[in-house]
Amino acid sequence: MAKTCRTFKTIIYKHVLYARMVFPTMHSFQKYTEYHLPHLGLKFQLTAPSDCVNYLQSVVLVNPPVRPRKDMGTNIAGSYIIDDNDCDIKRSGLSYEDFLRSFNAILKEAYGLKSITINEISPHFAFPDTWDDDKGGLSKFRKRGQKMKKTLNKLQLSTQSGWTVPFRLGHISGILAEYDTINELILRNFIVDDIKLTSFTIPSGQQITINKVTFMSCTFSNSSKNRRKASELFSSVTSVQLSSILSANDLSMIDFMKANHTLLNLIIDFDSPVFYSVNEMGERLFDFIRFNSFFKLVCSGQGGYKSVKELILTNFDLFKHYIHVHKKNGRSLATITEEEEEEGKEEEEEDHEQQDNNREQSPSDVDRRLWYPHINANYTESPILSRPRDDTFDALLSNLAPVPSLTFILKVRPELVHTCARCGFTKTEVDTQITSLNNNDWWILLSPLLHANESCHVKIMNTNFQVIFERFPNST
Amino acid sequence: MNGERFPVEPKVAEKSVLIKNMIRDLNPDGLQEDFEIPTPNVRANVMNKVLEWCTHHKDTAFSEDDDDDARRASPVDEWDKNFLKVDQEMLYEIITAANYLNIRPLLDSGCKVVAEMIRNKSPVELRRVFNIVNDFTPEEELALKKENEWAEDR
Repeated sequence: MAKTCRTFKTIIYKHVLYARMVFPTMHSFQKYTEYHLPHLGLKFQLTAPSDCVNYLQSVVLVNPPVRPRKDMGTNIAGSYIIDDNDCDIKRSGLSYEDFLRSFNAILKEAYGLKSITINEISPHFAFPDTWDDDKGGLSKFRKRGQKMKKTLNKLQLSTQSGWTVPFRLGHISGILAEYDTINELILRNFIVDDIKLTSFTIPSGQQITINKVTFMSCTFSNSSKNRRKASELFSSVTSVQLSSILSANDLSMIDFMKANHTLLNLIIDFDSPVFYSVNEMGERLFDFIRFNSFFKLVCSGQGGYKSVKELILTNFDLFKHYIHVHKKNGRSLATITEEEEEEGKEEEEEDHEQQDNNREQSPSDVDRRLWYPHINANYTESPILSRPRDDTFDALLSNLAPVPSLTFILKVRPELVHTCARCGFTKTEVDTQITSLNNNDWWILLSPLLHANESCHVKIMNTNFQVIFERFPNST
Repeated sequence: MNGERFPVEPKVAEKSVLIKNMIRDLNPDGLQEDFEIPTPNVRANVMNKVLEWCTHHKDTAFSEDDDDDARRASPVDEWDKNFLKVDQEMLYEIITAANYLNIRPLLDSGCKVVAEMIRNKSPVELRRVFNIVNDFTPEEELALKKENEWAEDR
């Protein structure tokens, strides 16, 4: 369409073709830079970057070539020698040096660039230690005295499939050579080594600002004994997000980040494997025993956590906890309390059970009785709930209360399809139970949290990030 | 709308989110009597076609999926394909009306039909199909080819 007329060319170049560019191969990246950037544009007698570079807002690169090294051959069981670099050049036609020149040219010329993604980073990839031929002690990657005020909104780095690569300055030095500020740095599948990161110092007169860091499936290697030492690279980080946390040790990344004393927001993926254990039935259960105390510490507002003002829990689906208890016991919790309070209500109990059955057939209806146990604390006599108070969902909610701002973002749950065994009729169950709760239901459900600290700003958001419940501080 | 009236049952009219919200906002207790909704931006013959679509789909439960990729990937309904076999002017007016009335499934189907008209056609064929005048010079056409070579590789 862009080739049909000038009007379409402008529209499509600006909004589609040259705005968000994905280069699945280095070959396509090379072809783009050859034509649109002057450093390689001699082939096309290009002396200035083409207009299309101005449209560039985001760029995605895959598997950048690595610096050639003599000792870089990969030996597999002593039988094969695979020279990664030769393979790369043969495959893509782009050498490491050409890649660096092209990439640097994009950073310099694309003033509208706001997002960079580099995927499939191989273990050997790094930007050079010296950048722009500057050998001064200043930054290894920036020209001495160079003044910049450029901001990159998002920088996302992912390692090559099957590899977990230690994150090092060389992964971002090429970008820091052009940008002072990175609003969000996203690292996926990296090893975060505290010694490597704390050993880096930013030379005086230089400033690097990274506002938010997201660690996705990253492993933390805390070999340093001095956990309180902050990394200068992350000295200005105010927001940390941990996603797909694999082990309890990886939670120590919070300690590492909070050592800068500027941490305000903490975002934790509640669906991370670390929080769950699997029982004999194959059920995935949140480990309250292990993690209630962790969240108590995080929200305590004391010590290193004094600066934390906001906790956001993403992929949260523990509100179904009561439904689990209900089903596991074979009786509704409301029934338990009724039995204890008043005997001789068997008829009503049967009615309730009948209603429960009906509700399973019409899942959009909210079984509000399931939330009642919050009010009637007598249920502790139930065998499944006779654990100490601090190992329960209620205790978890109470532990979260001290933080000034708390947001739950509900987890997307898969659609369930019920098929009638007799006629094959299928009905899709849309997950509306939680999202259709009204304000009163939320007050009942969250009572341990809401009553523990009335100064806590509580927000529940659905999977589309719409607020479905909000309690402002000191409101009733 | 040329002053014409199109009496329809609420279920049909409410396929339009714009009208649905209007009915809900102005009649919070539900419709008690006939309710007239002016749609000044839609011509009568186009409105007629749009209502034909709404009537056909009055019982269709469309996914409220906000995922753009999923919506793009789903194929056009066979009935919609035949329904949208109209001249280009009418097709664009239906798309514009669907956009104005906020009928997303109809808007999606209309856009996909236009996308199919574009797919796998050369610039020359596209100019013929959409009656576009080529205002490039031969030099510009050559430059266009070169500067987009990278995209052919993707």
